[in-house]
Amino acid sequence: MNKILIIEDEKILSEMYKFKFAKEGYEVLNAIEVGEGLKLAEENNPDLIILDILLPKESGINFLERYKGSSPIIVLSNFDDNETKKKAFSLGAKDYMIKSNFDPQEVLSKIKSYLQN
Amino acid sequence: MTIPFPVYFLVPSAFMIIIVGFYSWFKVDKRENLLFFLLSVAQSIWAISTFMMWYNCDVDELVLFWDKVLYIASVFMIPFLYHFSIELCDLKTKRNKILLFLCYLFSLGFVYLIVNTDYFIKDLFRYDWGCHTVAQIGHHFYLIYLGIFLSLTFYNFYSTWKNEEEPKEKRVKSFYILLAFFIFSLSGLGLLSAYKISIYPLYYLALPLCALIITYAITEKNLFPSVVATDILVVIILILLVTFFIFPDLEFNILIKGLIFILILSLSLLLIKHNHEELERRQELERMSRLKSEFISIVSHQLRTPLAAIRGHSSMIKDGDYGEISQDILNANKYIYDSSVRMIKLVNSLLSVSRLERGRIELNIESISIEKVIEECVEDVSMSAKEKGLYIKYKKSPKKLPEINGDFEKIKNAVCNIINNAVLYTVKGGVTIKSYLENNSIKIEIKDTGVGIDKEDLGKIFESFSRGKGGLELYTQGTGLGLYVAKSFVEIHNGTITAFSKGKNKGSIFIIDLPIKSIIKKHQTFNIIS
Repeated sequence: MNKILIIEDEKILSEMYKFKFAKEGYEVLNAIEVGEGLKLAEENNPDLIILDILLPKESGINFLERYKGSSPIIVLSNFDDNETKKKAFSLGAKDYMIKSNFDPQEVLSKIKSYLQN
Repeated sequence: MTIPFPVYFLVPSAFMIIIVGFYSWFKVDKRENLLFFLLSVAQSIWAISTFMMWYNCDVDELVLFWDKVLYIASVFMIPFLYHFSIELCDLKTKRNKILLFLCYLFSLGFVYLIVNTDYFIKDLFRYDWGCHTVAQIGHHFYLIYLGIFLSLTFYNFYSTWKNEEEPKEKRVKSFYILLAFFIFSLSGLGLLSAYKISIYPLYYLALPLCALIITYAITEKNLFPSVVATDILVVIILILLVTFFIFPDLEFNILIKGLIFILILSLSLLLIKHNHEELERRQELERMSRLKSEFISIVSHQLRTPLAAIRGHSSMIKDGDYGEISQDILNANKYIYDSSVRMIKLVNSLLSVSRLERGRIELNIESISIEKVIEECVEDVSMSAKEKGLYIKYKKSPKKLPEINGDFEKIKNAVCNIINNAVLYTVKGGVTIKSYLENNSIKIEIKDTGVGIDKEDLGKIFESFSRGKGGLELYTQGTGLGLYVAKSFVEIHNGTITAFSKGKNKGSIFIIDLPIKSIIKKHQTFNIIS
């Protein structure tokens, strides 16, 4: 069973993605801030990480800077800023998706394609 | 005979007043501006012919000729001024209209007397400083006519100025016009010489004073809106300088020269002040525009999160993730989903506009296939076209089109926007898309059988928040931002979008023209204020 770590502080969204991904058979872990996300990533070695940018205490960019693992990271955020996008890609993010522009099914398809690769 | 110095002031004043009058009318084609222009023409003719009369004081025939001209001009000044007071003060009552008619009628009568008879002026009167014709019976009546209509005019301006119920701007205008023309009426003292009473013609300084007050009221008190202060000031300075060249031998004493120097200096200072004010106004506009863009940007980010939740959950209901649901709920859920998608599109458009206005568009330049762009757009809209029973055809160029350098997402946004609009604004028939190579450009032609665009709307549809009338009747959900963003994105790629339509219900054709070889900057800066 593939493990997915969602780092998202908006409960209404994290619960939604969790439900969707779990229904597809994934094991879903959830963190609401960078520190907790790093801890869960280290302990569980997820197959893929979904990362928000605007998080409490620290930005998602800090997670990318501090994360030493090899799991592919998809940024899923409503923060649509070119500088941040560039920074995220330069720090190893595989994709940068705007949450509101995609249905959970589309996010799921993206996850599947990354996990297959 | 030496001409007294106040007479010389008539010439530059005449030019000044006619230019101010013409410019006011040229900039704002309103009746009150036209009347002010006619008044300035009459004043200028009066001033020039008065100067010519003094200049030719030694030749009887010329004095008589120029005096007749100046009288004709002054006879017309009265109805123009009275008419101007009625228009400016908005006093178009029946009584005033009758009085105005009589005023014009009398003026024509006086012109007849001046031109064809000796009942107005006859013979010459010479005195220490100049010359004048002698008043006859018609002239006595002219003085009565002058007194009555000048009093009525001043009363119109005075009552408007003092009426606290009138808007402040109108009251200020009335005050300055009253002041300017009251001072100008002092030049009527020149009429005393028609009754053989001679006084030094200082009263001619009333015209330059009147011209200065009017100019001040236009430039500082917004007498005629849209008349740019600096333009007028520059012209006045030029007139004064030209006057020096025309009359190089004027025996002005040091006081007069000093006076003119101060005048030019003060006009120049006003000019500088106005430039600074314009600059400040522009900076303020830019600041407001920036604030607006930042506000839109923040609001848009905050809107996206709840919208993502609404879209996400409703899409999962739609996909059956929450189990089987009745058709009624599914139908209602579809409305929720479609509405959230619509709102997200609006937020995205607002963000794009905000970025365009802040000049913060950044491009991800790569080699892109226009055919792929079109295919993706066609796929995106095919479902909604099918639901409406519309065909959607893509006729590819027989020869494979070359790839161009550009930002795939931006080009796709522009092309999809146009195709999506074509579907939205078409009820019957469908949309045909063609792509072809022409003159080193790739052309994308999007033709629909929809509501078409009114001729008057064709030039405006690419402006932000602009929507054609046909569109409003058929589809009320558009924001008027799509075409503005599309045009901006195409222009970033050095391309153009052109719209054609034969009119209402005759469909539309949009042509996007993208040059194959063009240098596109990765960072684009715009200076858009809206």
